[in-house]
Amino acid sequence: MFDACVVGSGPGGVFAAYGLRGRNVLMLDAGLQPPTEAQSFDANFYDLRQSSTSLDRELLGDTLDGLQHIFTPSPSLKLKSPRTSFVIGESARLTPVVSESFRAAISLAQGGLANAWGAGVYRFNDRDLAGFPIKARELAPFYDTIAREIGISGSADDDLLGDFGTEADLQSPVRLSPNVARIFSNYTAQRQYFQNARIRMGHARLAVLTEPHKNRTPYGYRNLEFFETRDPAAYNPVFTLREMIAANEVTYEPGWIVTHYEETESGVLVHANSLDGARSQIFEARKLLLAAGAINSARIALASQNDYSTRLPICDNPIAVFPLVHWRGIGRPLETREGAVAQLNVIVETEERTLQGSVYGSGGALRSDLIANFPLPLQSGVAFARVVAPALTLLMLFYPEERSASNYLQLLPSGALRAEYEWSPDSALERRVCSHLRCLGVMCLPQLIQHPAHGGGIHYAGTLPMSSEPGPYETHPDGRLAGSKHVYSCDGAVFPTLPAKNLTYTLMALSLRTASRLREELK
Amino acid sequence: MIHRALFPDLPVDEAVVERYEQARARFFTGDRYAPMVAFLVENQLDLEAVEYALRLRVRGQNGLTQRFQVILTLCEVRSAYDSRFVQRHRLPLLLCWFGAPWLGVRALWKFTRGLYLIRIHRLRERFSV
Repeated sequence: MFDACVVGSGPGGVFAAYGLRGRNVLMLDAGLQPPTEAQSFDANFYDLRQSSTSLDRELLGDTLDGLQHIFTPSPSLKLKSPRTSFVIGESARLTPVVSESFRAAISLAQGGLANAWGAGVYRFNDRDLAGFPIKARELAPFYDTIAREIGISGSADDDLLGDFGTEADLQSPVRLSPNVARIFSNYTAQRQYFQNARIRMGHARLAVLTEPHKNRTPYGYRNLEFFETRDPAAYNPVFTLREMIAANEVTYEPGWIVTHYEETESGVLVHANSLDGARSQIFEARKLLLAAGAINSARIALASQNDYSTRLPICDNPIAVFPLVHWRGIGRPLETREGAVAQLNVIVETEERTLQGSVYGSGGALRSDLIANFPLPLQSGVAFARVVAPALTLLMLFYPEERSASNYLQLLPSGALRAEYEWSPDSALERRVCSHLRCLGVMCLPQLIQHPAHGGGIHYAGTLPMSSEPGPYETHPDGRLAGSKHVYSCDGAVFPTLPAKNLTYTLMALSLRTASRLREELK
Repeated sequence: MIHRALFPDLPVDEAVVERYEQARARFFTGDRYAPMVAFLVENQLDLEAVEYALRLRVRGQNGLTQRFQVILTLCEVRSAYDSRFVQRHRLPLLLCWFGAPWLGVRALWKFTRGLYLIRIHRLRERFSV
């Protein structure tokens, strides 16, 4: 019998296993990998576009999988290319979600959705944790441990310090492109105006290296985030997992989908099927840590009770994408060395809530993925995209989300989950943000703001929320599932509310906290 | 025809044709827009105008826009088309500013023309799109 069984190898699962080092830990995982034949591009995307006659096979795949999103919309343009589609590969077959109103991105890949994350790492403060039964100071040592492991870049002396907290060994922030630098300089010059408007801006806080760290190389500004994963500069839980496997700190079993569990007096029986469905196996452990992602952990919890009637809450951060056009950039050469990671973070406060966003350049995605969205004939659209792209930056603004009766998951007898989701943007707020952004020297039209489909935030949370007095399908403050002796939740499922900050850093910290406590208990 | 509508001054790359045929076999088999596209091609109608009008008038995806998107993507990943998608040299400012009204006028012209073609050939009724 294992001391603990961790389900899933995403950020939550890996830091659960990390916290349990020294114990006999099993990790069960589907463990899908990127295509083995794919070599890293090892050059800048725009250099490759000029020097290679064709990138057709590399970007679209032999069987044109990279065009699939034209016919079946992908949850993210980052998940459509042949080298990134494995991140959500097989999930529609093995862990389906049925919905007209929610486009779920579920990962069965080793490393989970963190293979395609934006790498934003923000400590939650007490305001963010208002709905949680824990305080920020309880999480601080776990954030510290994770920061040392993953490496974080950003600025310790800009206006977001109060929002993001301090990090030891903070590396210098990623370089700003000329457009973004102009925005930041205009913000700095008008800081008082923006303070009055309750808008703050600062360098992006990222798990992206700008200096070497733990044998990983710094960020290369290659603009390839949309086409390949596992850039050593951007933290991926796979890096930590591989180290733990090499050090025999975890028994890693890929190729399994956990279906349900049964509790016994002494532990848990974990039922799993092989990916091809041909084999079933039962694994036995003293403790079970569910880290399959908020959606799949909910599926396992419901299936373990044969519960087809309970509706579990689901949260995601809805997004508004603001295109910002710099007049002076129109017709200039495209900045091909800016990279596709966030360069700035933005906080927008209102009386009721706090929104957070990231500012990106426009060099990441293929133009052809965007041209049909312009209200122009396509030949004109091609020319327009070419001329305007050098002037374009994008603000992706995330809304916080509360649990709501209209947003839920329900298990169907087929094993699929049914999802329902409702949400409406705050148009008045978005117009207000637009008008303030215009003071930064950019054109920002509310009519051009885009709202990706529900589920497009890919920050799923709240399905097994943490509470000081947990009811059914809720968790105790230590992560233990209510009514259970041996089952814990170690992913976004435990979030009772979802602030606008990317949840990944905090779910890693919560997971490490849960595992560290269990490690003592399992002595 | 679609390629010509997008890049009238560029010769068609044979590799694009080959990959488009592959895409057609994979994604457009049984597509309800196929008869309409065949009709437009056969009669050498302005595909770009019809696509634009359909895109603005028909909710959701339509098979003609999808065909254009496939060609656009197949072209963009080839270096021969790089200069059509990536601005690598500075354009004269006047060209940019005079270009904007021209795009507006062209859009209006293409939209009107597209609507006219859809109506005169009764495309929506005839092909149930």
